[in-house]
Amino acid sequence: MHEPKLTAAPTLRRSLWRHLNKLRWLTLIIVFTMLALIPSISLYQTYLAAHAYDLLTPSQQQFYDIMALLTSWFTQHPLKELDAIKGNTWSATLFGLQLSDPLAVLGQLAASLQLYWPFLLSALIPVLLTIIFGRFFCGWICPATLIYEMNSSLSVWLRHLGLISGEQRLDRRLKYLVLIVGLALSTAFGSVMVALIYPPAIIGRELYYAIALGGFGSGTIFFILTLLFDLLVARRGFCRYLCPGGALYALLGRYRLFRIQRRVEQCNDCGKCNAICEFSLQPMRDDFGQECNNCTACIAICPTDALHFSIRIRDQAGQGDGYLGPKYRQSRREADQLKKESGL
Amino acid sequence: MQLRPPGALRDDHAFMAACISCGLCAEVCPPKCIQFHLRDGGSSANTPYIVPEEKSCILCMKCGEVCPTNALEKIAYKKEEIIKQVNMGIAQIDRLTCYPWVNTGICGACGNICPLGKQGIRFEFAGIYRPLVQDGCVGCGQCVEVCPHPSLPIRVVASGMQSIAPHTLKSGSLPF
Amino acid sequence: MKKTVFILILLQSLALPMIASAHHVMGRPSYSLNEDSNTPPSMQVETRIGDYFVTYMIFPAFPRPGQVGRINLYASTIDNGQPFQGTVRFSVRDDSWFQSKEEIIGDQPVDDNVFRQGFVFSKEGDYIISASFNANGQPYHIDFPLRIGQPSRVGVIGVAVTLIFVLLIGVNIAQRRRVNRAKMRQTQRP
Repeated sequence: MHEPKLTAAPTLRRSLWRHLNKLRWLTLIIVFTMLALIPSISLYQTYLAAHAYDLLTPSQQQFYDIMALLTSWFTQHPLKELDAIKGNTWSATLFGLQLSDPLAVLGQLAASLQLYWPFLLSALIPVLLTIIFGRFFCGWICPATLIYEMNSSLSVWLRHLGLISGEQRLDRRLKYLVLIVGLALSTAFGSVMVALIYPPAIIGRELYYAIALGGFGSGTIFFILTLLFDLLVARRGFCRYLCPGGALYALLGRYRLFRIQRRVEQCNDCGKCNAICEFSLQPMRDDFGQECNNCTACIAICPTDALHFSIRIRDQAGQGDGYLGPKYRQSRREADQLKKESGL
Repeated sequence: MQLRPPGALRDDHAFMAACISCGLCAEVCPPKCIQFHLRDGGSSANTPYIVPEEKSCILCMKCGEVCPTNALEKIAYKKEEIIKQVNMGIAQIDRLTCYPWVNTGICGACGNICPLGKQGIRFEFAGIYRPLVQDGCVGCGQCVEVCPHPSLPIRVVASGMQSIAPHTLKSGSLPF
Repeated sequence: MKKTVFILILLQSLALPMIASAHHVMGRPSYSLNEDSNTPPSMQVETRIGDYFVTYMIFPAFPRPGQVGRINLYASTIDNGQPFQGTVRFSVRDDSWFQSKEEIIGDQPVDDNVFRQGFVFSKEGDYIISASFNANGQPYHIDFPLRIGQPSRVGVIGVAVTLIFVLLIGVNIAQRRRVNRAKMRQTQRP
C-alpha cells in the first residue's frame, strides 16, 4: 500500500519579529548607559558652575575634558541645556516631562498617605503602557534585567561545568506578598521602604552615589546579594519571586493588549521556546500569563517563526500540538488511517 | 550639622515620607552640596541633606523645581519669597570666638557673603564689625562655609531643633 | 557590533568615581591660593574626643610628594570653648592593614590658639597623622588621615562591582553559544 507522503514543511518567509530581541538588548544597554551618563553630566555641570578648572586635580580635569568633548556634539550651553535630562528609571524629568515608576507613586502614597497629583500624573504614561504591553518594563527598560540576564547565563554555564547543582522552584505569588508587605511597612515606618528592595531604584541611586558622591551605598550590597540568590538558589529568582515592581506590573498588565502568541500551524513542537524562557513560562503550551515580560527570547529562537506578537485580551490557550511536529503528524496519520479503514 | 535642602517640608517625618530617594535634587544642584547617607543614616538613609561647613547652599532653588513629589517645595528664585518660605535653619554666632566679638580682628566675611544682605546678617558697627544674625536668615550656611576661623564660631542650627541650650551660646561648638 | 558593545560596557564598569573639590559661592570662585586668606583650599576634619573639640586642617588640600605643607590643629574644650594651651606632639605612620612604624614629626607649642606643624613627604601614599597631648592629666591621642599624591578612589565595593561586571560580560560574550545549548539540554532532560 502506497502511503501518502506527508508534504514537507512549507518554505517560510522568515519574519522580522525575531529581531526584536536585538532591539531589546539595545534599549537595555541604552538605558543603562544613560543611567551612568546622567550623573556624569551632572558632575560635569558642577565643575562648569565652579569656573575653577585650574583647581581640579589632573584626573578631574581629564574627566572634564572628556565630558566637554561628548557634550559639545549636542549643546553649546551645557550648563543650562544639560538640565533637560535628569533622574533615573525611578523618577526622571525629560525635557520638562516628569516620568515616574508606578511603584514609586504607590510607595510614596503608602508612606505619606497623601496625594500629590502632579506626582501621580507622572506615572500615568508608564501605567498606560503597562496596561497595554504588560510587564514590558521588566524586559525592555529595567537596568537590573541587563545584569540579571547576564547573571542567568553565567549560572547556566556554571551548572554546565558542574560547579552549581540544583535549582529551587518557589511560588511565583511570593512577590505579590513582598509588594503588599513592602507597602504596609512603608505606611508603618513613614518612609518609602519599597525603594530599598527594588533593583532599578537601587541601581539608579547607586550609580549616582558612585559617580558623583564617590562611593557605593548599602543598596549595592543588597543587589549583589540578589545576584548570589539568582546564582545559587533560583535562576532569575529575584525577578520571578521577589520583585515588588514586577508584581505590580504583572497585576497592571494582566489583560494586556499586546501579547505573544503561538501560531500552531507553524509550530514543530521542538520545545526550544520552553527551554529558553527565563521565567520558566511554557510558550509551547500557550501559557504566557501576566508574568511574561515581552523579552522575545522565545520568538527569536523559534526555528519556524511560530511565535509572534498579537493583539488579544487573553492568551489563546490549549491549541494543542504544533502542526509541524511529530505528535500532530502522528495523530493525523492515525486519523487518516482510521478514515481509510472505515471508508473501505 | 545636617540641614535639609531649601523648601523641604517643615515636618521632617512628612519629608521622609514624601522623599522617594530619586536623587534629582542632588543631580541639579550646581555646587553639589546635597549629599546622601551612603551606608548609614538609619531611617533617613537615602534622603538628601546638606552640610554647610563642607559645601553650603547657594539658594538657586533648582532642587525644589525638580523634586517630583513636592518633598522639596517649589519656591521662586526671589529674595522675598526665599526669606519667607525657606527654613533650613538659622545661623548662630559664638561671641567668645568670633574675631571681632573678642576684639582680635576685623573680618566681615559672613556678612559680606550673605546672599540676603542686611536681612540675613548685619553688622553692629561700620558695616563690617561684629556680625549680628537677623530674622531673615534662612540657614543656607554660606557664612559657615566662608568663615575663616578654624573652629567656626558661626554655625547653622537646623530648623526642628526647637530650643537652643543657653550654654551653647557661649561655647565654640554645638551639641548637634 | 559585539566587540563595540563589549568595549562600551567595559569602559562604563571601569569609570572610577570622582568627587568635585572645586569651591565656589554663588557661582563665583571663592578660592584663594594664599594660605592665610579666608578660604584657602584645605582639607578639614573635625572631631570630638573626651572634653575636647578638635579641628585639623591640611594646607594645601591635596599635597603632592615633595611639596611643603602644613597642619593646623585647633583644640578647645566643649564646655566653655577654652582653647588648649599646652603642647601637641605630631607623629605619622603608614595607613596600611598591618601595624607600621610611627615616626615623630614634631612637638608644637600653641601659637595664637593654633598648633602648626609643617611637613614634607617624599613618597605618595595614605598616611595617618596622630596628634597627642595631655590635658588635665588625661592623655589624648587622635588619628587623622592624610593622603599624599593623587587621591585614590577605588574602595572594596568598587573593586567587587568592577570584577562582577567583567565576569558577567566576559562569560556572556565568550560562552554565548555554549550557554544556549546548555539551556536547551537542561530543560529537555527527562
